[in-house]
Order: sequence, then C-alpha cells, then structure tokens
Amino acid sequence: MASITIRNLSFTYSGAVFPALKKINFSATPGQMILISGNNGSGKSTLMACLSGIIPELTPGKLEGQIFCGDNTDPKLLEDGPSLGVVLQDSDVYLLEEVYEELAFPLQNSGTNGLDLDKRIQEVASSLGLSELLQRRIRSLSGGERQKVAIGAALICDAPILLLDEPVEQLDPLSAHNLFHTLRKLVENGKIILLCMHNPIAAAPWADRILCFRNGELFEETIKSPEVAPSQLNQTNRWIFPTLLNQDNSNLTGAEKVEHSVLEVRNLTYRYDTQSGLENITLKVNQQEILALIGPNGSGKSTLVKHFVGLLRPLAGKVFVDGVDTEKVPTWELAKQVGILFQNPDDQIFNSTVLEEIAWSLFARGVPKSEALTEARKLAAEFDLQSMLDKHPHDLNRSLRQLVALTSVLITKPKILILDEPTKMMDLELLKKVMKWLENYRDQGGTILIVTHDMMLAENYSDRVAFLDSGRLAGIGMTGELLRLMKMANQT
Amino acid sequence: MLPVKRKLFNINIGAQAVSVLLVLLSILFLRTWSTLSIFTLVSLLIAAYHGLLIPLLKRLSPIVFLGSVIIILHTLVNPQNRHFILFFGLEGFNYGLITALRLLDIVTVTQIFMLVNPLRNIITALSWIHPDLGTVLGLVLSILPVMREQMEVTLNAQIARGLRIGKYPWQRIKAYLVVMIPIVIKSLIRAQIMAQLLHVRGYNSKREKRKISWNHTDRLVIAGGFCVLLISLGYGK
Repeated sequence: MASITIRNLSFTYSGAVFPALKKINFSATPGQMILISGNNGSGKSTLMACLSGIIPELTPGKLEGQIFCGDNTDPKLLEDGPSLGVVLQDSDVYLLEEVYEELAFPLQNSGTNGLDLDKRIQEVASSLGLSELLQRRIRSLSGGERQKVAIGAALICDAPILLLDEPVEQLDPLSAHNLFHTLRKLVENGKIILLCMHNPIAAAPWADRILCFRNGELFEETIKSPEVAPSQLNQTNRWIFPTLLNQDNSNLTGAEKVEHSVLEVRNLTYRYDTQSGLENITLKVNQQEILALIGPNGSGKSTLVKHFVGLLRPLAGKVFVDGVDTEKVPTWELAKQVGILFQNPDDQIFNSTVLEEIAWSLFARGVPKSEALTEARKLAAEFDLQSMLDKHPHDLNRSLRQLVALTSVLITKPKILILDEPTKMMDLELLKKVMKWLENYRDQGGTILIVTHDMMLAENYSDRVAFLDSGRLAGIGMTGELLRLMKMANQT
Repeated sequence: MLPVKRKLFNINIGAQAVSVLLVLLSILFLRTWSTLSIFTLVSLLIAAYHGLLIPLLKRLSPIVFLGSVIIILHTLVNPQNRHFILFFGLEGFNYGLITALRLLDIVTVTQIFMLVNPLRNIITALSWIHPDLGTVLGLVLSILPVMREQMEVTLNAQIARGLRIGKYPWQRIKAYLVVMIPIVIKSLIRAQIMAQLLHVRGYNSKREKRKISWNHTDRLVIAGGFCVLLISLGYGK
C-alpha cells in the first residue's frame, strides 16, 4: 500500500525571489484524509504539484528535499499514471469534448478498454450524479457539473492516492456532502486522500488531520477526533438543500414583502439548446437589501443574473431594472446601474497594472484618464491595494485578482451589485473584509444580489434568500426563516 | 452526431476516414470553378440523401461568408487583374471563386464525415494510424469551440463593465483588443493546465493502438476514394 513521506521539501519558482514551500515535513499513511488549508498563495497547490510530479516535470524551479512513496526508500518523486488521481485547482479546463471521453481518457492511458472501460465509467458517473450527462459536451455544463467531471476523471482509475485541489469550489452543498461521503468510504478502504481548500469549514468534519499553510510554511497540524462521526453528518449538516419544490412556502414572510423593487423578473422563461434554463420565474429584489440566490448546480442561478445586465434576453416574460423594462435597453446602458462581478476575474483582466485595471471601467465610460486614475487610487486604498497598484494583475494570487475585479466594478458606483460566486476565489479573511464594505454599501442605498453555494455567507450576510431548483423558484423568504425550513426539511 | 436517415452500409470509420482523405486530396487537383461547383453540388446531394442537408448548411454558413469575402477581395485587388468590368477584375474574380469553392468543398466533405460519425469514434479510428494522432485531434477539436466560447464570455464581461462597440472600424479594433488580450492570456494558461492534465492523467504509450480489419465494403469505399482522386488528377491536367 502506498504511503507518502515528505522531508525538508522546499521549492522556489523560476524567477521568484522567495520560496513557495519552505522545508515542509509530513507523512501520510493509508486510510487517512488530510485537509490542507491556507489562504490563496500560501503554498497548498505548489505542494500538490510537487506530489503529482508537475513540479519539476512541467514547472521549472529549484526543488529541494525528498518525497518518498510506498515502501521504497529511494528518494524519488511519485510516478504519474494510475498511482495518483489528481484534481487540479482549475476544474473548468478539460481535455476532450464529451463527458464520456474525458472520463475514458485516464482509463485508456492505463490500458483499460472495451467493456471494462464502459463499466467503470458508468460506475463512477453514477456515484457522482453524472450518468445522464455522459453524452453531453463539457462546455455545455455548469461550473459545478464540470467540477464533478474533473473529480470523476481523478477517481476513475481507483488510484491509491488522491490529490484534490479545491474539489468542492463550485459544488452545491448536497453535491459536496455526497463527495465527502464518497471520499470517506474510499479512505476506509485504505486510500490516502489529500484535500486542499482555502475554506476548510465544509471538509473539516470529514478529515482525519488538518494541515495549515501560511507563506509556504506548515505552521499548524491538528490530529482531530471529529465531534460528530461521519455517519451522523447527514443529520446534523444543515447545509444540504432539500427539495422545496413540492412544499407550500406561502407561509414564508418576506416573499412578497417588497418595498421598492430595483430588480424584477415576471414570468421569466429562458432555454438553452439543451432545453435546460429558467421556467416561469417571478422574483423581486428590494432596494437596500442583500438577497442571496442559492440552489444546486445547474439550477439556473447564473442564467438568471445574466438577464439583469442584458447578457441574456428572455424567451418569455419581462425583466425590469429600477422599474424599466430591459427589453430594448442595451447592455452597456444597463451597466451604468448594474455592476456584476463574474466568477472568474481572468475573463476580464487585460490591463498591465492593477491601477489601470481598476480605472478601466471609468475609461470605458469616457471619464478622463487622470480623473479615473485618481478615483481608482482612492478606492484601492479602501481595500488595502495601494501597495499593488503598479503590479501586473496576473502576478497576484486568485483572491487578490478577484478583489481587483470587484474594485473595478465598484468604481462606477452602481446602484445594484451582483456577485456571482464571490467565495469561489476569495479567502475567508478577505471575504469578511469585502462583505463588511458591502454591508456599508447596502446601508448607503445600494442593493446586492449574491449568487452562492456558501450557506454561511448567505446566513451571515443576506436579508433574504431565494432558492432555485431545476430552473424554477422553489422558495423565497427571510434568511433565518427559509434556512430553518430547509433544516427541518432535511431532517425529515 | 445526428441520426442519419439512411445507414452508410456499415462502413468502417477507418475506411471512411481514408476515403475522405483521398477526396480532400483530390479537391486540391481540381482547377476550374465548374468542376469545383459540380463537386459541391454532388456533396450537397449526398448530404441531402442522408438527411444532413440542414445541419450541414448551418455549419457552412460562416464558410460561405468567408468565401464571399475572398471573392470580393481578389476581384478588387488581385495583382493579376487585367480585364475589368467597372472596377471588378475578371482574373481576380476567377481566382477568388476557385479558392472559395475549394475551401467550401474541403469543409463540406469534412463536415459530412463529422456529422455522420461521433467524434469519439473518429478519434478511436485514427489511433489505428498512431495512438497519439487520435488524442491530438481530440484535443484540437475540443479547444476550438472553447476559444469561441471564451471570446463570448470575455466580450460579455467587458460589455457588462461598460464597453461599447462603436460603428467605426477603429472603435471596433479598440474594443476587440480589450477582448483579445484576456483570450490570449487565458489560452496560454489553458494550454499549461492541459499539459498538466495530460501528465496527471497518465498520458503515455499504453494507449491501445487500434487494430482494424477491413471488410469488402470498406475496400470498395477506399477504392472509390482512389477513383475520385484519379479522376480529379485527370481533370486537373
């Protein structure tokens, strides 16, 4: 059985001044799930890259120390191939066009073909809820569905060691719970599983050990006895979405408690080529409120919010922004009132400095350059970005890039702000700072719509919650009340 | 892959692929617009016979647009223009028409092949020649629609930030620069991550080299491809 031992591992990326890993020592034996947490840029992914052989095979740099695997005492890096199952941090990148091909690829590389290959694919797809998606093109899937495909490709060869980098980043709570459940079973069968997560809260109850990284150093290790046995987690985990579609939610307060709505959809229907989409949604968002939009992967959350900025137009129904029907309003015009932060800041970053990137939204609106840059400096100071203004945005870690993207949206002072999965890239510490700023923004008259899987974010910061399921509005109400209802439904 | 109304007589994909390659080669030897037009017509009739005409035409519409641009450009600025109607050069028009039709024929034949056969089967068939060939084709074919999608995603993100695409060419160029830079950067990042995925998913020489056994129909189809090549060589002279 494989085991992992790391001795004095240090790594410095080519061209970097400071090492990304500093004398790391730890070991892992079969039957352990180890959670590695730490902020973005702390060294977690670098460690995974060293273990998987990406460093130094594909990524140049100075590698020191030793990684041992199995019973072999010769210092060598772990071999690639079926001895490892790896999920990389960016699960939106895939190799082949269809889900089936993507899952087949690692098996074919291990020499498996024919009926054995098909059987194994069906097995893994079933465990991850991908059976009906096998013939789908991966680019037509939602972010969470793509993440499941990436996880499937890692699990498919039944490797003794699994390295999973942010495996639940885009998964809804139920899918995340099911995944941890599956991983726990694999651990009980003798596998070693290393999980890297910048937000460890969801995974902590399932892990045997927790390692914490900061600035490339391992500074804390906890061998924990879970307070709750994994078998009991199903009952106590309040973050699982129940099916609310068939329930009577008319008793919920807040559903129709509309004072002045700034965003509204009436009987909105939208369909993609795959026939999934939105079905007859009616929803209002009040001025000066924070509304959390939650729901399982593929339920239509991102599809709905794109209608508010005119990136999608309804097949049927109406969309109103501040009382104005958006049907004939161009997107750039809507952008004056609605600011949207997309999931991936790399989709929009193109300037060579952070300062220019933040100011660009004003340049695009015709604001003189000097004025735009002055505004950008002021706003950057509010988010502690002053020391990074001359840096290239791609030199920053993911969390800071997301913050730069957010700042470039806030600089235009939109009345309405839409955040699509802000916790996907942001560290917990940074997110708290941002949410505090946004609460002030709300108190000064702004409206915020947050699309999220993070139930703690929804519970701690939102005034109301709207729950989407299979393209329909399954429930809407005051946050405490709706979450209480969900917890009750989960326990029945 | 779309359902084909009439079965292709159980022709092995490998035989189809070889035949398609021979036909593509033959297109290069056709030198007049009339023979290329006949070739186009025959391809469309074959597609219609198999119930693929509508999806084929949808896929060909950007190529038709591109072909029109090629014809117009050559008509106006081909240096070999000697005879003119108004300011349209006849030699350039002829050259542009031949080039456009050749492009259309190449795309038509490959699209018919891809509409009839699932990509997965094409890749498996190509691994008969070499296992890497199928993988490379699969990777290339998966990247192209991703880049197109990325263009749309990035354009949407920038428009949502306030980007206006103006009417004038210099305004459009400036706007597309805002879109192209993130696309190029993301493509480079994507390529790096794909290399990592190939590595961690164990891409190696254990991939099975597919063995193919040809039946009578397969041999006839390949022979047919050779015939088309020989005919085009004859017409090309």
